[in-house]
Amino acid sequence: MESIRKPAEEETIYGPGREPYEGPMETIERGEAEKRVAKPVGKLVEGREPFRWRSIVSYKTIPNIVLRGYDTTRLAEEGYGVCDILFILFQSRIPLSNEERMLNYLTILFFDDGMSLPAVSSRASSDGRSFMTQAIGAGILAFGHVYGPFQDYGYMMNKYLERAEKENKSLKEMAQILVKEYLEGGETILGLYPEHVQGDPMPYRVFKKAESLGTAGKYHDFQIEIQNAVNQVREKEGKAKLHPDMVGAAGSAMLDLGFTPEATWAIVITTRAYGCGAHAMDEMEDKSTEEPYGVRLQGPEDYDGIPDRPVPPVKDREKVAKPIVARTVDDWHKTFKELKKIKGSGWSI
Amino acid sequence: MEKTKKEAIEKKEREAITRRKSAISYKTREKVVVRGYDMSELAEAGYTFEDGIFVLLQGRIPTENEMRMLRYEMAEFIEHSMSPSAAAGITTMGGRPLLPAAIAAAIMCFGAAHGPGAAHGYMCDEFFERAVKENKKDLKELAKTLVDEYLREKKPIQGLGQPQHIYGDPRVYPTFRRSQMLETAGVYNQFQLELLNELNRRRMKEGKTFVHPNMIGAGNSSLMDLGFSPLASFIIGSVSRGYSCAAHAIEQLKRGHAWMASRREKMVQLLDLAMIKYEGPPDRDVPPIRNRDKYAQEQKEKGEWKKWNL
Repeated sequence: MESIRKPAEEETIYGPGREPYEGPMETIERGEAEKRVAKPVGKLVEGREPFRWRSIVSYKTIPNIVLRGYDTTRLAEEGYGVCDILFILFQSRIPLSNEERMLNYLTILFFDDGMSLPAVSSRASSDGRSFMTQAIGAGILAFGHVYGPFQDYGYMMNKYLERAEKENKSLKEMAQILVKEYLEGGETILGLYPEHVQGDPMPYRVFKKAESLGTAGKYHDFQIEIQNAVNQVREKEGKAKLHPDMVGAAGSAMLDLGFTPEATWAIVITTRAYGCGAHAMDEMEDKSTEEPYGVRLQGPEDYDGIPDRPVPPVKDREKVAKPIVARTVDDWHKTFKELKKIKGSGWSI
Repeated sequence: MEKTKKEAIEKKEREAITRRKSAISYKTREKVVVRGYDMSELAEAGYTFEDGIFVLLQGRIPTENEMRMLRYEMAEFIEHSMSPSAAAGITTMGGRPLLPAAIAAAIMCFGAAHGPGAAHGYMCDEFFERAVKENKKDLKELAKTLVDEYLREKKPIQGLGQPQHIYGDPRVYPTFRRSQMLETAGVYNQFQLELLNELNRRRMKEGKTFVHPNMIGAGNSSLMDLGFSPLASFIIGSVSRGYSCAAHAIEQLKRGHAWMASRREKMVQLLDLAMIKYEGPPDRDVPPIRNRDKYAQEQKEKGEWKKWNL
């Protein structure tokens, strides 16, 4: 197990004074590594089928495209629309007319949300005159655990609804448990506007629509119970009422339509992507945006980081620089607290 | 925790990322308004998803037939099974990022070769503009000019040929037919058919096989006849595929192994070591770093590296 590098070479690469490496040698011992991987390809695939794109969603042949067993051209010829196809795509079933109408209603609301994060991201990307699909992709990537977290919301609902069934609790009781656990844990209850947002009529209209079309089910009821439970607690504390947001209203409606949390998120995000495209085009058409974000000088008046300081001569590096390696947990904790103070370092997220 | 966040927002230590004029939409506490229409009102009034697309991308409510044509096209667009975009969604999900990354990867896969709706639109518009300028407005003649120029310059004529559906994409001819039936077929549809005829007339003469239109040829022509710009058509085509790519990615998430290299699967996986066929330079010794410059100079002069340069 001799290193392929001589100490002098190590010194050339890493500089003087470096301790000789004493860890595992696999990565630099070619002989050992070669012995392990030098199996012929035949051995690796022995007894297994060759690779093929396996799918439960669709297949195509030279003359057909088949989605969940249905020929897609036949579906279009029959007059099925995008919302019908989304049921087939994600749930492998043709929806009832009212289910299709409910999804149609929701998707119209998903198209756009004004100058929201996805719109801003798409606009910024398009200012670089990227491909349209890049600008759309940038908009999609703005969705996460805080903005439009429909998947997380679905997981939360499913987790507590499963518990309600297992523990034989009513929706009202389980909503109270959820609220208690989330408040005690200091976590955000998804589906509700934060305290500083006074709510808007759209989520309430979504509830009403689902009720009138008969598609409102246990997710709708559970969402209402969560709102009631949280507002009971807040009323006791003399705090203002919290209102449902579109994640709570549309998210519960989508789950009631049979979409999984993942499918719900996929539909919301992809529908918003059309809106992102529109924002990107608006940006491209506007000549004033030919000066993209970042090109305009942004001076120190908007800078709130470390004040200007001289660059030390490189020969003084060791005098100026402080090593950061923590060798004990206590050291780490001290370092960690210091690092958290550095804006934009990522340590305080 | 919540209080701190609230305080930070109230203090406005930092302004919003941007303030931008927008011709698309705005929102207030009461409503989200797109192109002047309150979207809740639009949904309540019974307009369809496809109507919403017209409002969003053209700022107008379409006629019934226009809406039906878009409905037809989008229903067809959504799924195309295994294509570069679906593969991108699936393989991205193999790394287990958040779902948006897989959807974005799939949509960003659309470009100059896969679903090049915008390129097709610009090609048509360029020739229409020339027709107006040169006062040569006969579509048959215009198609001849385009085919002449594109063949001479060895440029691909957008809208024709598909590597998988060699006898024509199954959606193509029904799409042409539907837009004629619904009377939404216009100059783009006509021009596309003239291009098809012109190219194949020449190919037949040369004893070559017939080239069928692809979904860009049929679908994009129909979208542009509905008033969608090249970029708006590109948005409709690529984003509609985003739905099915998401389904494929979710299937990978729920039914496949992360990393896509598991040897426990009965079938060899996409990223199994056995799937790698290396065709690069043969294995060679790493030179000692002290000899780097001598070695590198010889290597550079020998020039073999150019064979592998990407």
